[in-house]
Amino acid sequence: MTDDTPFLEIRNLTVEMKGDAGMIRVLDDVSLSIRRGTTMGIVGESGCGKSMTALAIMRLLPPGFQITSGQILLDGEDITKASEARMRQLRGNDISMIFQEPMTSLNPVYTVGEQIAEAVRQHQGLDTAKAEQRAIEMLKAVQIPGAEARLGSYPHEFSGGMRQRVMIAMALACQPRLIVADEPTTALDVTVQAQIFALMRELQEETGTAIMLITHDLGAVAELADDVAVFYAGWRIEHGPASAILRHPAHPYTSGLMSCTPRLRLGAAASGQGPALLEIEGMVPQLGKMPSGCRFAPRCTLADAHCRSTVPVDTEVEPGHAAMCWKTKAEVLA
Amino acid sequence: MDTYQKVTATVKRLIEAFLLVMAVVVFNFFLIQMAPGDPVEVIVGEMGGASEELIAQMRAQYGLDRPVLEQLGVYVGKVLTGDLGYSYYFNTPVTQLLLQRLPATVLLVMSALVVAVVVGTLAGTFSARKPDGMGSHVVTVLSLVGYSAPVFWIGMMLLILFASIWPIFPVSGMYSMRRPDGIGYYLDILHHLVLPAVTLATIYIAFYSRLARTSMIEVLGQDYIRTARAKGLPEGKVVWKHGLRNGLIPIVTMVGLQFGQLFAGAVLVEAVFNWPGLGRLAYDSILRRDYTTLLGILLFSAILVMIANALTDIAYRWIDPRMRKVKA
Repeated sequence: MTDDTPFLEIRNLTVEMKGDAGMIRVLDDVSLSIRRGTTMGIVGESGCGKSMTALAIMRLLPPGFQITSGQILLDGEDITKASEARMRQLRGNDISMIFQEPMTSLNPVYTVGEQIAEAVRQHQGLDTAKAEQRAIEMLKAVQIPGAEARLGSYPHEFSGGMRQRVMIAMALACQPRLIVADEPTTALDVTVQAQIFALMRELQEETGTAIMLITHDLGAVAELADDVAVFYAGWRIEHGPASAILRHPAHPYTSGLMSCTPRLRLGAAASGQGPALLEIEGMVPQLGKMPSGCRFAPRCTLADAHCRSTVPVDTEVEPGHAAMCWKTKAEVLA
Repeated sequence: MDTYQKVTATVKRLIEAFLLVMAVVVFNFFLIQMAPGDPVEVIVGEMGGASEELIAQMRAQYGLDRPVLEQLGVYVGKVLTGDLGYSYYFNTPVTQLLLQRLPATVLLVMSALVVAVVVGTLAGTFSARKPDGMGSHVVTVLSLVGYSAPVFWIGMMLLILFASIWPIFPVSGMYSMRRPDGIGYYLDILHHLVLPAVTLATIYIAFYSRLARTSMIEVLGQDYIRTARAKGLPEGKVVWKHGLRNGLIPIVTMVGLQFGQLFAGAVLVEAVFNWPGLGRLAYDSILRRDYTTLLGILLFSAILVMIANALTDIAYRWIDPRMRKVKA
């Protein structure tokens, strides 16, 4: 169920935070697009702006944060200009979000059935009995055993993995066209992670929903994503098809990130090199104290004076695959 | 947890409660024994003096000449059979006297409690929605004033205001001189209830609005509130459905703990507004050295506080499913 018209298109999005000394940019001129029925993986270190992008799409930025320029087009409608009432129609109905903390993201004092059913009642005007029926269907869809009996259970009666399934059931209850999953498996066991990913893939095939998968796990990206966007310090520094980026990253940061992930070093393993775990030297620059020129330059082994003085432009290295880097052509060719 | 365990747990609690009540009885008995003076002195004072023989005869009549431990034994024995003794002042059995006064106090205390919790929670939640807003600051300042002002002072200020400046509420008693019939009778009581209840509630309104504000600010920052917003629920539902039920948990805890204090506050308020309840009776009984009545009142309030705590436990379980026992 994929087609090539973008369902979600973010154009030049900038998000700023009120700081002690004026506005601080947390997202700077970010653009990306997600096609219908596909999965976009958003990758980057903590604090690079991944979650801010997700919350900006939901228009649920924390107090003090605001979208200062750019557009977020959802099926052609610019939701940065939508009223709060319109956003409430979209949230939970057209766009759903799965949060990274299943242990705290469910309300402890209501049954899971109620928490799933209330979104259905809110958006689709179903009566209590029908909404409950839908909640049972959703619990079955996310493979919770004994769905009818579990409807009246409270979140504390579920394990972490089960709670995340409930979150997914909740997010899918109104058959949204876009799911924003913010590190949905970070808090879970590795085996549970695999189950959750399998479930998301299966549900996507059935419903044709687009997924924005935010993660720092490149394994998850390799498994689920059709396209990838890599974030660094508020910039989207590389984007393109997942296969292209995972095989030949065009940005030195992306290739650095991949050499930090042991099981993805296929090239290295094949050529018989040792499985040494690498790391990217240095630290992510602090918000508000960004270097001039390329923000990755201080940590980049390829950086020269030009990189340090001039902000790089988005350069296409192959059709649909581009990186914000002055050195990228040279690296790919090399 | 099976039925047997449930029954055992309940029985255990009842025994605990009973022992606690008996401990309260004994403690109060000695407390009053330690106070100077006895009822006979007061009666003699009111009679304008009496001979030594008459005083001794009266002491013997009331059993005040016997050893303290014997008096205690007699009293505890009577209490166990439900007999709280005889009020020498009213010449009526204490139990009858207390039951007669109880409804007025329960009405006053419960009205004040409901007003305090409802108004306090609403104000606190309102100010938690925008903690830096103008409305929030107004609530904070008002609750600080309400919390700092002594109960009797608020009572006197309201008395002055509504007795002379703006006489729309009666300032004394529970009924009008001419008691209306039918529904008018209850409306008349409600009319009289306004000032004492407001006076008693003021400090608790202030207290609960501060508590609710803190509690709701914390709750509204929780992940599940963000989840509720992400579902597209209207802000009202987010705050009042998903927020408040969680925010109520510390409030219910405090209600249970403060019930006894509220009772103590009723003594002052009933004295100021001449409300015919247990508090007023307690105040008068102290002045009259009416020991049996005073002991009865203390016993009653201990039992009421225990009932309140049991109700708090039930409310707790109703609000927070995590407090219920996991189904086997």
